[in-house]
Amino acid sequence: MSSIPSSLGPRLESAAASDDSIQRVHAGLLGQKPEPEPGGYALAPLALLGLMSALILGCCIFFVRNRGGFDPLVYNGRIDPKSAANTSAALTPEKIIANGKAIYGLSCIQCHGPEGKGQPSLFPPLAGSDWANGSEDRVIRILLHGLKDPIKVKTVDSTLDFASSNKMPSLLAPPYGYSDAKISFVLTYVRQAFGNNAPPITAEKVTAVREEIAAHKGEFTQADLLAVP
Amino acid sequence: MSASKPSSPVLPVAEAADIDAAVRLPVLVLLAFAILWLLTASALGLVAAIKLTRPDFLASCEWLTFGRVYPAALNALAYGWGVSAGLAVALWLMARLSRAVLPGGGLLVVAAVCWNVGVKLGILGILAGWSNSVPWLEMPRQVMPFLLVAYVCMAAWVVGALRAGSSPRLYVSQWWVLAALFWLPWLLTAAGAMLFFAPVRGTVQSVVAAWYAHGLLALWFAPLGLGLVYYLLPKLLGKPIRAYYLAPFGFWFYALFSAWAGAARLADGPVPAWTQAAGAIASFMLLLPVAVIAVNLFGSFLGGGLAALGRGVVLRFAAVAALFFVLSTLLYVAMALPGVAAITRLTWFAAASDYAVIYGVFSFAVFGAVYYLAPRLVGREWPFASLIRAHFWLALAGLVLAGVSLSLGGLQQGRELTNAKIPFADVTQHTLPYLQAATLAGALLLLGHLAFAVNFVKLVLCPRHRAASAAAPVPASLLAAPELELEVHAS
Repeated sequence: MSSIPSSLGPRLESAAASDDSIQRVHAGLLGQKPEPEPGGYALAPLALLGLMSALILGCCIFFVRNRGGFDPLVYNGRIDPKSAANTSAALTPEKIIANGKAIYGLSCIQCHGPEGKGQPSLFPPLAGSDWANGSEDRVIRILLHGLKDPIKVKTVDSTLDFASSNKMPSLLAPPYGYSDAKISFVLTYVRQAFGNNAPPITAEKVTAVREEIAAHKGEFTQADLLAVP
Repeated sequence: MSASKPSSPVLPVAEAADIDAAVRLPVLVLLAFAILWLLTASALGLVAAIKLTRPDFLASCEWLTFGRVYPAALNALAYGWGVSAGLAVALWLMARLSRAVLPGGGLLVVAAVCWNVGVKLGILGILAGWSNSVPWLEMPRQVMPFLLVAYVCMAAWVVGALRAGSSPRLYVSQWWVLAALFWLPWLLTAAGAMLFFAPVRGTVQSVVAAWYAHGLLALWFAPLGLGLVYYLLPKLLGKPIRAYYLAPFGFWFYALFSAWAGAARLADGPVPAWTQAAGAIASFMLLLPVAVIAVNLFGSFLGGGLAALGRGVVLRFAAVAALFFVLSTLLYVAMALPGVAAITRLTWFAAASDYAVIYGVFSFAVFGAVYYLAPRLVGREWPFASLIRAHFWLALAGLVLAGVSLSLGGLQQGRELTNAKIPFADVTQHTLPYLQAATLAGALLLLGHLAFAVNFVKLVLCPRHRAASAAAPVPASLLAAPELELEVHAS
């Protein structure tokens, strides 16, 4: 660089190149191919391409893991709203009722009806029923192992007797095979729908009762149930 | 500049002189305003810094409470100094590189005065207590349309210089400057409309505010600084930019990702997780343009360039600006990592990286450019070489001291804030030493700016300084710039 004039000092810095030559030289450089290494390839573009690929891959992984399901209400990227809905930790009362209603519509509605009124002399009503609104231990037992033989049901305005011909199946057994949590959901729903107003039932309570009656075989009878508080 | 009529057959000398003469008045007026604002901002910033450690300082004055004086300092720095100085050097650079002899600089001066009146009203509005609560946009909304019109009138001249110029080629500096000129009004209008004139609802406001704050730094200050550095390095070193064919990639990748990176400022904030994640990955992708720009700029110093740093102050300013561009972008990338963001958000660490852009990148590049261009515009040498050196070392010391103390203080603050066992009052107490160091840095910066201002005023106003010796106009032969040589490659 012999062309650089000696510096004029900080009071007037000397230029080492004219504007025109800067533009002319760089316009030439823009189209110039990168300088090849001894092996015959250019290192800089390859390294840049490698960096770009690595960055794009890393960013994709990061984004997928932190996207929060694209849910506008999820502020923490580590939470996936879909899987969070199925764990009891994230359950709200609304979700419990919604889950219970879905199960009721799937497995109970055929006999007990959309309004929980049952069918006269065939299936007992749930709306206003003293059983449905009564002891937790008894309703849990009915759902876990089923019910057979005659039963007397009191509703708000009448007392009904049902014959023994219709059995209520166990919801633990196939084809239902419900978990304790799901049984608690549907029980909570039934106890709070159709004008009922009984406290909710937790999955832990269902588990406790199931373990208590593990030795019992077959459906319960009215007498069995009345022996339980 | 009639003294430097074409004295040699090499055309550029005379041409450069004509170009400089055409933009002399507007550039000097803008620079004078800018330097006044720089002093104002430094003084206000120093008051704010002192108040952080000594709350009883000036406590009786309502206009100087911390909540007013701190945003006033930031806005004076960003709009008073930043935009005025940015437009001044952009105008000069664009006229030089486009080889445009601009007519009618008088209108530009009117627009410059309007801009500065607008900023003054805005700063007074902040001090009077009418500020907005949006960071970097605290000026009362009423001055914003006024500012925008004044800005467009000024920026139109710079764009006009490109259109009117006779240069057949574009240089990388022109891309950066031109892009920044368009990005700022885009940011201002979009943020102003969505925050003040037709406010969007809910958390979208915080997204817009973060986008604006990051855009102002990354799409106005940083690009202007880069444009200047890209020009000053070959200009003073006499060597082309290394791996120049990569420069377009650097520009486009930076433009693409910087606009998105603002959302990373909202890490763990009350905005949808995917927005935060998008901002974070945009910040990570910035590593790509930063790598390109680092190769371009630092590559120029390879092979003897480092020795040149000892010779010229302009080159030193430019080198610091290049260094801080890389450093500040790496800080933004680091702060986008969730683990780091959990500590650094809402601390002085985040503020330190913003100062690194506005001061380390932009202001240093502008200082360097002004030290190069002002004697050529005026036709005289700088009066005091010692003040130039003093300015550089004071500014560098202030920048490094403020950066280091606020970063370390911010890290400690963030670590303690996440520990519920440490009372909040203790956290505040523990950051005090760092803030005191930052106050000292503010004083150093103010001193440096005073040296700059004294030198500038003497250069412009006193034609006969040191009348006995070399006060005569610069002979044109000294300003003649040699031709840049194309680097010869092995192939």
